[in-house]
Amino acid sequence: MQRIFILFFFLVTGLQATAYDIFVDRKGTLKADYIISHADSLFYYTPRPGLSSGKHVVWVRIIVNNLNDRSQFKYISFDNPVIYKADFYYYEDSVLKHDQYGFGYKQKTKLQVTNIDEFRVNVPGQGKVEVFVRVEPRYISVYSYEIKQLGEMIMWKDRKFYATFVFIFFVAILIFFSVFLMRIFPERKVFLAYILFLISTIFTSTGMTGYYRPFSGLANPVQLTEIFVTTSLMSCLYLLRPYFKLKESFPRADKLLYYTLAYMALSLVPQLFFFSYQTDYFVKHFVFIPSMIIFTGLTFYLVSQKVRYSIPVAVVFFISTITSVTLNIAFLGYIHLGYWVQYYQFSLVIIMVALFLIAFLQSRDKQVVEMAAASLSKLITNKTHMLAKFGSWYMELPSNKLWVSDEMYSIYGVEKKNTPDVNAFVEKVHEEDKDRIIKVWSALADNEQDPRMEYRVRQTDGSIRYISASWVISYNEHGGAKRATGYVQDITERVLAEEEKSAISSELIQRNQVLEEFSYSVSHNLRSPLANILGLCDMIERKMKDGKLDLVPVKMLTDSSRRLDSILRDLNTLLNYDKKLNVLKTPLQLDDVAKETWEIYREKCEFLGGHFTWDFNGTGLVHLVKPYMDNIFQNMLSNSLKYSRPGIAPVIHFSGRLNEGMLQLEFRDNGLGIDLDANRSKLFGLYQRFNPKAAEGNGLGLYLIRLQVEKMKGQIDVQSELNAGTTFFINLPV
Amino acid sequence: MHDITIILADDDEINNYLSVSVIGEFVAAGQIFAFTSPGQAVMEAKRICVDQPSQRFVFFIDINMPEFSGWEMVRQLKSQPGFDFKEKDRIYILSSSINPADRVTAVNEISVTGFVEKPLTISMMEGLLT
Repeated sequence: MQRIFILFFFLVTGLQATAYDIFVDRKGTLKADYIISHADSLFYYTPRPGLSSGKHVVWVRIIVNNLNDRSQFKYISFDNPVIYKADFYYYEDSVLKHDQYGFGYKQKTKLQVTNIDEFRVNVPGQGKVEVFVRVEPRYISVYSYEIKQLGEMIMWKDRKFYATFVFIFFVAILIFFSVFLMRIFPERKVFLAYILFLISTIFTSTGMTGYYRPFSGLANPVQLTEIFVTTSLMSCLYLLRPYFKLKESFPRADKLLYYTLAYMALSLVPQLFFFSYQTDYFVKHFVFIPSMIIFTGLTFYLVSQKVRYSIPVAVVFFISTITSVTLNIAFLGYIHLGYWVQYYQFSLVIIMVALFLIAFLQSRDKQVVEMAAASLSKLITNKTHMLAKFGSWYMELPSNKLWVSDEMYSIYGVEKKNTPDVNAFVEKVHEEDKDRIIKVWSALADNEQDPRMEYRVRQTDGSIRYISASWVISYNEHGGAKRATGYVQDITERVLAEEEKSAISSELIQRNQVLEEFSYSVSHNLRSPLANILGLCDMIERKMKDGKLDLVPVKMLTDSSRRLDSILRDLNTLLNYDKKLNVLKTPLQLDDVAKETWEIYREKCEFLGGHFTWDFNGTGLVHLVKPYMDNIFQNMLSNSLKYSRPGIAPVIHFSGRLNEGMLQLEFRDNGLGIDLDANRSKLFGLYQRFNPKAAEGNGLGLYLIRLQVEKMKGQIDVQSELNAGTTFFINLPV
Repeated sequence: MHDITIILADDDEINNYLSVSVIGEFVAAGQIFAFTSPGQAVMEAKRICVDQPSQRFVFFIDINMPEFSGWEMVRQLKSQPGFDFKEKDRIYILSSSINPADRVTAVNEISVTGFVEKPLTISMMEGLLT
């Protein structure tokens, strides 16, 4: 809205200024309602030097001297705005001077319009009408003195009122927009250019026609006004030059523009003091026209270089040029260079409008971009810091005035405050790290200190965050600490992930070791009987060669082979066991399990004179894996029988009870016992055997029990005394 | 090959039988003892050491034995009083283990003379007793 308003304003003022110069005069001339019925038919005309008599195009300016009765003049009108003809007479020593109208020359010629009848000027009442003839064009050689058009009709009252109104109006607008535009164009140059532009439009609209002449009394107020207007416009262009970014991007074009403007300005100076037709002629032909050509070239250049907004400028420029030529032809019937130059001023004004538009758009663009960049940067910083859990802080030293970013508050779980307190943050540090933090913080300015640390923060909800922090100290010229700037980053996720990762990898390493051990134990165990078989075969071969073969090695061969077979079977059990990852828990009575076990080993037990009892009354129905329990019971009984003390009847008792959701099982015997001091660590390992007496064990039973107990999430433990007995304890969750 | 005492320690009796048979063929003169218990083997070695000080000993020791391991037995032979370990004595680990870690232990940590894979054959014996 603002933009549209300003654009409208510029267009209106710009157009008005020149339109007034061009149209209002014409309007007054062509459509005036005044009729001059009679008048003194003397006109005074001073042709430019060197002009001889002949036909001349003359503007007729009628000046009514009786200013006291202006109300009369509204009845004055031309009824026939035709071409008036006048004969010119030359008077060698004229006494008439009309300096105030711009026609005061030493060489004066008296002109008399003969066919005065055609000036039917009707002035009711008293008064004297002077008809003043101004010859146009002034500066080209026209050897005809034919009056083609009646020139300006002077309407003092209306004009003066209008001029005053316009002047006041523009001054008001000037003040209003000065304040307003100061904010839009913070650059002084733009503001100044605007003021010049505005003033020039005011003078154009009020002064160009010569009816409100601020410089009245000087050499030539009309020309002076023109000079002023033109200079203002050129200054405008000069001041706005930076907005085209010509200097940076197109230095040659910029220089050209600069010198052209300087040239124009300088060439106008003589006019201020030595006004003459010659200078006017010079300015219009040698300043404005070349300048116009340069502007045209510059516009082409800007377009060809794709300078921003150059196309609208070019369009405006050419439209205004064409308009000025068209206007010229429309009113004069031919291209009149003098007028064209004036119309060309109109083009310049339009260019000014375009320039202001561009300057405005560019400055606005710049502002928008800067504002957007600033707010976007803040937004991006906030959001990304939030994502990265990255907080930053800044502290003035030694005043300890702290500034803290939003994210830092949330990392620490500290409530946001306008004046953050260091202690509020230190409070949150994990108690184990607090001393460390306080120590570092109190020596913050010490440049020997490593400006990095990791610590934990306990948030209000009790959760622990891991923080990585770093900072940098700035020093003043005396080496004193000036400020500290730092960041904290929440690295909790990373730390936890690393912990998890290291836990997984250590577990993997452990498992791998176990597997390796397992494979070596298996291969070792397999190789022992195999080595025997190989050795025995070798021996049998030798013995057969010697013809001394006996049954001993053959029998041994059979034993070894059987052992190998049994190891392979055990291995199969183990491997199959590992496959059963999901084993079903079923309700079972441990009583039944014990009974079944007893059935299997009954014979062997009775052979040894053993005594096997069990007590599972307190356990009732428990949910456990039946095959595992079978195996555990059978192995326990089998071991107790296997490692019984020679000559002492085995007494074996299995029992169980429930305690706080745990099934506590006990397997007690009075056998050989195990030297736990030496063997505890190996007890439940694969292929570990301890009893030198009973070498038949394959070192698999307790290993398997341990695996099964662990699979049921239980624990196994053992108490034993050599030559007294062993008790295994198994705790299982049920 | 006089005055040589060969002591076997292995809980595997078949292996002992085989080894004795092989060593017996190779060693014409000398005494061979086979034990399933490393403890007894150490005691016997001490006894022979005292009775016949000039004897040269060659041990073949299994690693994996229920009473204590072959490593322990080597340690006892080398460090416990009662057995005088001489330079010409030989200690071999006789095992079916193919675990490289066992060989490393044998050579580096226990400093035995060598590591012999089971079964012991006559062709192997050539280098072992010298």
